[in-house]
Amino acid sequence: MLPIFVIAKITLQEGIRKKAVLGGVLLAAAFVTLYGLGMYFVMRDLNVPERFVNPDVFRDAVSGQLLAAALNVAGMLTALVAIFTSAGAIATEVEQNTLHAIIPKPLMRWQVLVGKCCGLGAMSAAFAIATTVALLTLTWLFAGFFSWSGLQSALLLGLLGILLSCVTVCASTLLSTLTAGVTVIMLYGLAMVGGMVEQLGVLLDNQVMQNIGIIASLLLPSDALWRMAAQRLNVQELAILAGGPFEGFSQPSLFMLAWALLYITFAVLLGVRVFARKDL
Amino acid sequence: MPELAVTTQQLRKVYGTTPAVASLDLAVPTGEIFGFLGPNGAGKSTCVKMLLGLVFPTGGSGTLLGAPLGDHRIKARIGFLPEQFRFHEWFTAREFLDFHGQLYGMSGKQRKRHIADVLALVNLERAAAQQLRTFSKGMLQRIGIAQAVLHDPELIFLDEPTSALDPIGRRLVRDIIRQLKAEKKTVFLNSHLLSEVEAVCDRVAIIQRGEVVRDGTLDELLASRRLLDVQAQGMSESTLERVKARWELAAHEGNRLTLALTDPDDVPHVVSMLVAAGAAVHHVELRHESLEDLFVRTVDDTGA
Ligand SMILES: Nc1ncnc2c1ncn2[C@@H]1O[C@H](COP(=O)(O)OP(=O)(O)OP(=O)(O)O)[C@@H](O)[C@H]1O
Ligand SMILES: [Mg+2]
Repeated sequence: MLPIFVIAKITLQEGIRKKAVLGGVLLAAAFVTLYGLGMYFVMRDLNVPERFVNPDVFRDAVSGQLLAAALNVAGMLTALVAIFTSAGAIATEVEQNTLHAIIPKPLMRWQVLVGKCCGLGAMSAAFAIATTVALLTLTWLFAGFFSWSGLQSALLLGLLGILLSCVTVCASTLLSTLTAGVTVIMLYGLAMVGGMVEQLGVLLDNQVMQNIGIIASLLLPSDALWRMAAQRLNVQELAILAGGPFEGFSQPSLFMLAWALLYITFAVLLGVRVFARKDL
Repeated sequence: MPELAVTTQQLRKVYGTTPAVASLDLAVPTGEIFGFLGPNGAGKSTCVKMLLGLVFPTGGSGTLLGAPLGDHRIKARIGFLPEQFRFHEWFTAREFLDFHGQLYGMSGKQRKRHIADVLALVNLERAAAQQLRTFSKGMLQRIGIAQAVLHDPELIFLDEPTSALDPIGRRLVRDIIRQLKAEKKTVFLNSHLLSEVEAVCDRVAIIQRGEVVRDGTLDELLASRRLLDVQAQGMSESTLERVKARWELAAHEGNRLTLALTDPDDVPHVVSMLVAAGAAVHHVELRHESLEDLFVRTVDDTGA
């Protein structure tokens, strides 16, 4: 069996036992349940305003808005799970000398690092996809609205999980567990605020604000990925509720998707490079 | 198979500005049990970590099984018990060994057979299904040894394998090491338990501040000096002076003397000199220097 696979497997097994994952899963389960309940009651008690000739348009718009808001939360939960599980990937093992028994074995250091990225990335992606699919399913059950392209949203959120896992593993080769986690959370927050500034920039037609958002997304394309995911829900065309939070949605370009993929590659390569010369 | 299983040439490691290993020259012949000794902080573990690719040398070079340090092709032929041995403690003993077997690239069949063998070897068969978190310190050290020899390696590094073991465990490790020697394996042993080292090693090197201060086969090192323990009453200062003038006084306490003799035939001369000076000799015993004597002498000689 390939060493990468062995390491990925053990990383996954270990991750599943972590409190961060258990906490994330419980939180996600509670959130998804709440969302289902909310959707059910909203749909039951919704009064369609008279100006809507076709009430279904209004219903879809409302459920779409709720779904988009829920996806935002799913994105944040994914980020927390990805960052908390990956922050110690290398740092904790160095602190605890776990690697002393692993590195002398017939495998390469890069295989250890890539294996960890694979295991943690797979776990975060699975978490993101499961949460998103649960949200889509509940929307369909209670609002009769199923967004097929929402499956693409699930994949994009999965990619967000992979991105944050790999970036955090990379940070973990350079920094202590705590510092690595805090650093990536700060980057994530920065990208999120940048994304908001960019949205406002579009609304206000302010180029400087839009550029700030783009630079923040270049620093870490997490918010760009989330916005692409939200956009794939196909709710923006239904966003006819005046003043809805997602009005004037600017769509990240495919360039950002490519950038996210490149970013993951860079993070893994940098991690490999730092880890290759690290004294354990 | 190369004649020397491990060599180092001016191997050096500096952390910041303080050298952990100053300049180490070692040569460990294949098939021998090598004792690597030195006071705390001498650089033993750092040296082993450099040999195994955990720490990168600041300077110098070395070989393992004939291949330069960092060569990945020989890793499958090496076993290692780290000094500070931690692992995923939610594993059971068997799962743990299975994981390490996979890392060694062993097939499922091989793993099954070897795991049963090593569990028996370290006497942990009954704890095979127990989680490592429930293991005692000594049990962990045993499972660490099992992990180091799981794949039938040619060269085994053991960094203080018996520090947590009970007397029976120590004897077990001694037997394992002897068995490895019978199988023509090379063992590189870091230990502070000099009586154990003396019992199993063919060759030792004593290092201090990252440099070899004494090395050779145990026979060479311990045979060159004989110690004579003497117990006698009524030794005057002048008698002592005369004894000291002729032989090296290794220790003196009350009416007990230890003399270092280069020639064992000197024993009657010592006795007759003491008797002639009017001392009452109660006890005389000629013995080899122990490794502990040599260690204390060597390390003291060069300053701690
Ligand atoms: N990561 C590190 N950073 C800085 N100094 C270190 C590091 N590791 C070891 N040292 C220093 O290097 C020296 C040698 O340490 P090492 O662990 O090799 O000693 P040792 O001979 O194995 O000692 P012991 O018998 O106590 O196990 C010590 O002075 C130690 O403080
Ligand atoms: Mg040590």
